[in-house]
Amino acid sequence: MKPTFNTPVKTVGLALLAVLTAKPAAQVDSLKLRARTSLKQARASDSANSLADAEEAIHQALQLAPDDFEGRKLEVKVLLARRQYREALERARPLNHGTPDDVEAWGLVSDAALGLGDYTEAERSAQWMLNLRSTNVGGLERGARLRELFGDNDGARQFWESALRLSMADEEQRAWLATQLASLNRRTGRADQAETLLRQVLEALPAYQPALAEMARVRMQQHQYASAAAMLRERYQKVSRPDVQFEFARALQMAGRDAEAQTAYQDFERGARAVIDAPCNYNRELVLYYTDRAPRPAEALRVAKIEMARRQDVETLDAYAWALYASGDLAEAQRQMDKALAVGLRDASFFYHAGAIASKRKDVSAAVRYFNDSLSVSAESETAGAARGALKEMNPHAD
Amino acid sequence: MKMTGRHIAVILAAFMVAQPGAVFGASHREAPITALDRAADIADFFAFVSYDDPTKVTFILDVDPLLDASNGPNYFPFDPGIQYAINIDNNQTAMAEVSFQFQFSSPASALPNIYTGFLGALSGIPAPADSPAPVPPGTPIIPPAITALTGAGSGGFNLSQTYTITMLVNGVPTVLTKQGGGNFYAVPANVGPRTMPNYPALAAQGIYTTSNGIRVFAGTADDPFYIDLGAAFDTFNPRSGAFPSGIPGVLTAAQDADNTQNYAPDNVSGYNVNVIAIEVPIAMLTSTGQVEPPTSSAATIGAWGTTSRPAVTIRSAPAPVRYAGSFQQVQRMGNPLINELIIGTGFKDYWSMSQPVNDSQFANFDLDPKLARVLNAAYEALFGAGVFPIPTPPRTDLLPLVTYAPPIAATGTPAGPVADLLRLNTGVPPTPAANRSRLGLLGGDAAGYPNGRRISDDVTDISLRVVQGILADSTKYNLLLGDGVNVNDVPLQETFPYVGWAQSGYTARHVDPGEPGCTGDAGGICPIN
Repeated sequence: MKPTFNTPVKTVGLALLAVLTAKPAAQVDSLKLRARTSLKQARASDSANSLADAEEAIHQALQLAPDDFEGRKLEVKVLLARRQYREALERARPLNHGTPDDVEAWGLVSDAALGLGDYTEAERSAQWMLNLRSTNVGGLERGARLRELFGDNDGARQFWESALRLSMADEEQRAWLATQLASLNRRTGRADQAETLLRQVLEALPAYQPALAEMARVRMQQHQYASAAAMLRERYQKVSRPDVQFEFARALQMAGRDAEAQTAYQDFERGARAVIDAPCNYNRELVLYYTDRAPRPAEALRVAKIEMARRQDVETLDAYAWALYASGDLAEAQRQMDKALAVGLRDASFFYHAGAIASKRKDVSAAVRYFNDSLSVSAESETAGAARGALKEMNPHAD
Repeated sequence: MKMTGRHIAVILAAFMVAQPGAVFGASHREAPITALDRAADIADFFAFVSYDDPTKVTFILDVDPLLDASNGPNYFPFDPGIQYAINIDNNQTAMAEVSFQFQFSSPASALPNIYTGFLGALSGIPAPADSPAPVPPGTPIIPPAITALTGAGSGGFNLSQTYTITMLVNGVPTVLTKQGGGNFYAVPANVGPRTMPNYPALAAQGIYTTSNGIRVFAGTADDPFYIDLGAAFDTFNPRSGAFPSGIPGVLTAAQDADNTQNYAPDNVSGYNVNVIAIEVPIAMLTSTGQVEPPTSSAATIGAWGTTSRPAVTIRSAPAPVRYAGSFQQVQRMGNPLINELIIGTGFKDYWSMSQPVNDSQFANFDLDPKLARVLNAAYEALFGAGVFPIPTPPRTDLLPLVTYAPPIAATGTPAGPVADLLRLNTGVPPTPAANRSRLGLLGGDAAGYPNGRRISDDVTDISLRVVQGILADSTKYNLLLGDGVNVNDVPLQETFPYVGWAQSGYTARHVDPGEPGCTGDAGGICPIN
């Protein structure tokens, strides 16, 4: 005979069950809160320890509640922070398929796809976020990244600005959004606007590492290399990562402090080489180092291929094309560069690389077009001087 | 609304299950997005052969539900940012070959300094003799009572709204114009007898005929849906005092046959809804361009309503000046209660925004509807094992409701893809009022739901029975399920636009438990429990 809801034994059983499950449920909530807090802290401080703490907390939470939806989303966020895009996508997809009304789950799929260079899926997911809620900050954030990738820098700026206006979350999220907008401004020749925004961020959160990193890049673009180097030295003391070291070395080099730069580059190389095969690596920087600073074209190409096997986003395609160029495989370099540019991104350094490849292939008209494109995106980018030089070389009589 | 009809025959009962979502009162705020975007919320969708002209079909799209009749001063304008549409598939593709799109203007204020949208009394009231300066006595203060939507008698019609209708046939748009020219005006809410002394006459002015012979009406009207919504969503908790059968939610034969009174509170009573109604010659709807007999495979159409808003897109429109940007569907409705009662909460918005042609992705909800399991578990826990049997999944008994199939479509009609469309055999003539059954096809009334849906059809009771399994076995799974609400609180009309006119803000009331309004109970008092 089936029990009924009126059966006292069952009632007692349910009450016991409630008592027994209450403690783990509270623990799970507590662990998820810890993971969320640590993830936010990791973004704000670029802290590896905070990320590790988030990972540990979510690992414990999922041991207690393996099917916890929020827990699973946090797990994906940790994977994204560790740039484990393929694993993140594998875990995000079932979450999205199981609950398609959850806006954030679409965002996780979009982020993972973006990291892998699958822009079709990234766009489809981000568009759904906007369809579900046209004013949701997460949708605007992904949309802004994609608009930039597709070459719509003004549209991207509009989305970032909207996201910033609409954000009702905490100060850190607004700081993050403002920093992203500042970054776009810098990369599109609006360094002053970028600086204004970053000043606001740093006034509110003086130790906010993403803004400090971006401010150093603004200083580089403003040719204030010594200032950039000082900022990056300070940043490296807090965030001792190879990519920070690489930027620091670059600033030192531009400041004319070659000996210090050399040491910094060597430190960078050691650190980056140690994680060549790890998901969270510095292979793009390493490729650029082996092509532009310490020429080892074969090694640059080897590293680029390792990364290409992992992801084919536009930055990896660009690095691969640049390594091929350095290795003398111009036809393949152009093919890969064309693939990167076909996405639509209007980036000064990409255009410069495309121009250099075209120039070496003796395709003068394409080279001129790409160098001009590079300068039109930003006349003050790090590659602007080289682009001007190349144009001058191709047409010495031009202004 | 009133209803005739009775009994429970059987045949097909309802579509609520087959498509996405169907069980209760149509769909009031059933998905998370529309819960936040009520102007775009489709409450109900109806399609039936016009009672007074079997060569025409009437479609009614109800949006923005549960409008309290007295909720001034702005009352209930349609949202100018929404594209409202009625879509018709006439070749079993589950895609629209014919569509009617409605777009409304921003409410225009004729009296911007007046505090309310509608003001009027008698033949107008001037400032009295002791009117303080600077307004001299005799200055017009209150306009005449509102008796017209435009021109004389409309002076106090402060917030008026017009609309446009675009008919698309195979994607080719034609803007419909009014016979004799002029604007289509949306009919305002019924503010009250002082302001609108003859509201039915005023509302009737909002019935227009287009130059191609289509009749339209848009405006606030009585919400024709009726349901004990409170019981439905309290984990299906019918009020015990309303069911002499001894099992709440199971009607006696006498109750089941009663199309004239309610045994439980109608939670939609006293509320208005915004209505878009359109009556179209069948010849404009069928693929053959003519009225087809019911045995013709071209006689059955599939219809659904949608609301859409301009989309925010990652990709820019290629020529934004020449072409409007794309729209994003906010909600849709074919069969009643699909999204509300069948689709899971994690999928409701996704379902709303998807196209019917892609509904096979939601088939699992139909094949093992959770509502059936909830009812099975709840009833058997409370009233004993075997009280509420349900068929074993997969519930293929429900799938014919989402395809073109007999008994709605003629034998031989291509089934088409699984899709939540309200299918209507346009060759089946309307049932006279005296013979109409609130249970539609289940009641032996061939012109009722799920062969289309009339506003009098009791889709709640029909859907409950279909979910239980009446289509799988009409003997085994045939409890006389019902919520005890069998009839609308106000009479429906027998002619276009069929809905009852808007309830008056001055006199409307909601019949709640413990109040008079349930004529079947002692003293006419609705039961509290």
